[in-house]
Amino acid sequence: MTFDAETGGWMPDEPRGSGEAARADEAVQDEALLMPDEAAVPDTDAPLSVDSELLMGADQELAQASASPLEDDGAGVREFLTALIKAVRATQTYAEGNALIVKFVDAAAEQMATLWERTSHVTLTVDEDRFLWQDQTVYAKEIGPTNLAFLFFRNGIRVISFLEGFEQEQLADFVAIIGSGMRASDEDLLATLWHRDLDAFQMEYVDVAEDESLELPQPDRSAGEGETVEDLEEIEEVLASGELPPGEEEALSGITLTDADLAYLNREMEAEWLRPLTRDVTLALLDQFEMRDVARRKQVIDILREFLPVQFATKDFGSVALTVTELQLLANKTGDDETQELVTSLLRDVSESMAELVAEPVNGDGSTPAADEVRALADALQPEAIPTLIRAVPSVANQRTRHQLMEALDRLVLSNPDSVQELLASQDPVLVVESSRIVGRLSLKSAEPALLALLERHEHLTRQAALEALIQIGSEECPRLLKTALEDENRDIRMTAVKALAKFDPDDAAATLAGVVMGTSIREREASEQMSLFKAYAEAAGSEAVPVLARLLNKRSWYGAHGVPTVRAGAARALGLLHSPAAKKALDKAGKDKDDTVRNAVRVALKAHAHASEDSDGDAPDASEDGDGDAPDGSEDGE
Amino acid sequence: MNHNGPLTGKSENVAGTEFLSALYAAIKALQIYPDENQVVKDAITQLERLAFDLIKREGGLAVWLAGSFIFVNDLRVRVDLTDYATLAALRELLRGHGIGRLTVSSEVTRRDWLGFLGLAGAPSTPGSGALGTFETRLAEIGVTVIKVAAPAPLFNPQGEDDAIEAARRTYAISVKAARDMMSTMLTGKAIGARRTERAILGLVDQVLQDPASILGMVTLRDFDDHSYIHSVNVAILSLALGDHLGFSREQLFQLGFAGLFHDIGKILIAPDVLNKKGWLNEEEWDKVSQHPDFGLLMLFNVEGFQEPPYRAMLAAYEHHMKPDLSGYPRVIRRRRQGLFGRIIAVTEAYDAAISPFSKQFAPSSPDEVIRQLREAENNQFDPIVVKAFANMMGLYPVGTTVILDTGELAVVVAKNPAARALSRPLVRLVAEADGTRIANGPIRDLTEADPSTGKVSRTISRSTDPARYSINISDYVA
Repeated sequence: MTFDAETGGWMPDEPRGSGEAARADEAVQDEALLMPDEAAVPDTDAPLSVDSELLMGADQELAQASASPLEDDGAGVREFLTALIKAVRATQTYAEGNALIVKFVDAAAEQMATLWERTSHVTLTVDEDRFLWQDQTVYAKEIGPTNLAFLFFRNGIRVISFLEGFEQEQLADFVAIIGSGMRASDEDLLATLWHRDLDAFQMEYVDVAEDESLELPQPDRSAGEGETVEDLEEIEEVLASGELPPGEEEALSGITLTDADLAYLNREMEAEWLRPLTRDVTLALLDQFEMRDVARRKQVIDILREFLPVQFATKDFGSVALTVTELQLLANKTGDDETQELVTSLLRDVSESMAELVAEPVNGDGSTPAADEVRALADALQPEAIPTLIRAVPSVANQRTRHQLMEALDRLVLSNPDSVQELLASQDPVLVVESSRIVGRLSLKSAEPALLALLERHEHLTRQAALEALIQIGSEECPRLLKTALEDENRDIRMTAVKALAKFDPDDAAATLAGVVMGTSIREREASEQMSLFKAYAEAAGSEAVPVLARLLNKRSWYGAHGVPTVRAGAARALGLLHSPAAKKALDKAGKDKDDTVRNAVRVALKAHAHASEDSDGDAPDASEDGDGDAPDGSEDGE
Repeated sequence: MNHNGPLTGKSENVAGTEFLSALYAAIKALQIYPDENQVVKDAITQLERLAFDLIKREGGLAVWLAGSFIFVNDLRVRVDLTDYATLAALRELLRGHGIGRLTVSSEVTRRDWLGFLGLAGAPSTPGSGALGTFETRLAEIGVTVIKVAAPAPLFNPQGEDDAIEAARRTYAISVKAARDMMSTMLTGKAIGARRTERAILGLVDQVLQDPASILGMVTLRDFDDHSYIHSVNVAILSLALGDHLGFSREQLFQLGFAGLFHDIGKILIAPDVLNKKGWLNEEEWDKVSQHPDFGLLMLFNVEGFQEPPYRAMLAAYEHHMKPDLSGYPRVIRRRRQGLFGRIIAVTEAYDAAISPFSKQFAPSSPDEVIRQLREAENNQFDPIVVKAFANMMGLYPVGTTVILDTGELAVVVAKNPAARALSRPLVRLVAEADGTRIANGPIRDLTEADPSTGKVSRTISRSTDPARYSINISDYVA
């Protein structure tokens, strides 16, 4: 800490003139500079309100009463205020949590701590443009939004007192509140400070909005002066009878709180503070909805339109679930179209938020809906939730929740097939892919045109999802589409086509695939794709594939060279699926091939033949037995 | 410190509460065990430590009683239900010795504490000489660093006027805020809560500082539209009860808000129905009985708080229910009437019953209403809440007109601060026994004894109807 002669305050040990701290210092110069001259001369002319005078007197009285009153000229108070303003400025300059804010607050706390060596409290009178401490101006600045005294004054605060210990835990909070109050002109600083209930801070305030027209009740203390009560009959009767009320003990017994009463009240207070407020409000609204007419129902629905999102924000799953479930039941119970429409319109309005609420990842606080709450919320979702669900469901971590939401999604799409058409036309690839998957899963024939259009998109994931959906739907266009897809630039799309071709084009699949496996492009494909092609070909062509495959495996070129090893290995594995003597013969021939990849693939294929012979005792070739799609990568166990 | 406006600061004096509890524990320990017993030693060690901390932190240690409050070093000690028995007992014990102020010097030793605690735990001298006897005995055993003094006068005329003026101002501001807010609500617009919030802050601070003055305002009847007055009165009575039960300041704020707007739904009911003389027909009753429903729904229009005022909505909705959920509105889904609803049920019934504005019933005197509330059948109110309310108000609440056994007429202006003097409030004399009206009549504490006989000077014979004597209660109280 160093003393700054210019500002008259202690500064944190941050290099001046450079760095962020210097900026906060500079920010406070304008007002701090005003201080020494004005503060040197007690501002006895400054108008003091009645409140101020009272408090000044009270302050002096308390100061005199304290063990070691402040007897200096207020320099310590000024230094504290300078440090306080710097800290406030820091909150306005830097983001919350910045280390420099902490540093400036610490500096102010240090200044304040030095005050407690001489007094136990500091009381400041708030004037429009200044703070007064024991008749002295300890802070003054032109009236404006950056004047700290004016900030308090315009909020009706006329006296503030800091008590010993304020600097320990409350100063930082106080600085943040003041900083916020300076930023937001409409913030009620008084109310904020009041609600914060700081331990070592007191303030005296007036109602700034109080106007001349405020009529005060004026009781007449001299009422009846000089008059006499004429009807003394009752009084005389009392005097004559000597009437007295029940004795003290008797009177007390009925209204003295016993330990049991106190325990009961304690329990009730705890229950009140722990009360599930939104749930109880929800119950009341539902009762209103149920017991009153359509106009009231409409009113309740309008309120719920605002209220449900508040509950979403607070993760009050239970109340939301209760509301939507009950509303649907009540709407059904009334059998009244208008009520049904009201409820549906509400659910449509909140469906998107509701879907987000359920589908979003579990929060840091661990709040997550229970299974029955998810069920209730999912059941209430309307078509408006479809886009949100489509995007969110795949990433829902909780399997049970994901399953329930997927069911809800299927229900919504099935009952609103048109809604998904728009989504398939979207430019959002995620939405399109997931929508394609859903219409495929649900075999929505009506989505076919939209899916076909997607095959023209350049994102391969979109094309693949569309193709898969068309396959699931069983589109009549599939044979053509799959043939085209076999030559797609994307491997995954080609693989999809390979796997589906035989199903959709059983007559031509063998010839089509033969063309591919015998073509030159097969060499450029990955080993796994080659394997899939050979397998698909074997399945489609059966024993007719053996000559082709045998040739691909064993044929040499005119100069005696074999083909590409991975192609030969694929052919070998495909021959392994065809349990015929011809196939075995072709395999045997390559059994001692020099290439490891080929030799290993032949060995696996021959094993498959051996197993098939044992299992079926020479039955017809069964191409489905392999099924593992192993790549001929040189390892005996496949991939 | 003298305050012209509301003073607000932390409402809980934790160190003060701990010190007072330790003081009482040490007195009780010494009543039971000898000086050298470990329990006594531990109790005094704890007391010494807490006293030392307070003196070090606050530069001194002074305890004084003011009304039913206890202050430690200028700061009021809030009595919540946890401390209620201990602090009430300590207050009565000190009062028994005539002690209203206790000052402890930083030089206090264990020996001084032992001496003081021994005397405090001993039976007090009956009558007005209790304090003198205590001081003499304290001097005899050489304790000079713990000083005791009489309580400050309960009613300092100048201070009383200031306090009542402040209470009047707070009351008027609250009525205006309630009127403005309800008028705006009637237009169907959303309500900004800033002015209302300020009004409630003022009411809470007023109740915390000087509940007697603000409770006196409940007797005002010719000031403004009675529906706004009723709302403010229910807020004040509820706040006073909340304070009595030890609610925190923030909890009081919520209770005050709920009290102020418990009947907000009535603004939707036609004035000719609300103000109809005699019984309501079925259709009219159907409408009137929906005001809790309207209140719940209307309070959704309040803006400006961090969240909608749920507790106030529920209090508005539930304040005509009974603890067994009968009453109205009808309950379909199982719920539990909240504490706010139960408090407001009692305070609103009280204010409605003493109000001269009821079109269906003649007003009852406050003490009669307390009795009726206690005797209410059919589980109409939570009996323990009623008991707490009666305990807070006393058997003769503020504003009760009474005939004393002297033949004097008087109006109750405050509950007696002595916890067990629930039937002996402070009264302002209105007329002498011969019927002569007294202008600016003096205030009398009905526990005061006649020095010549040692017996109490005045006792209430019965309450009476102020109208019979042309008494406008608020002239004497508010």
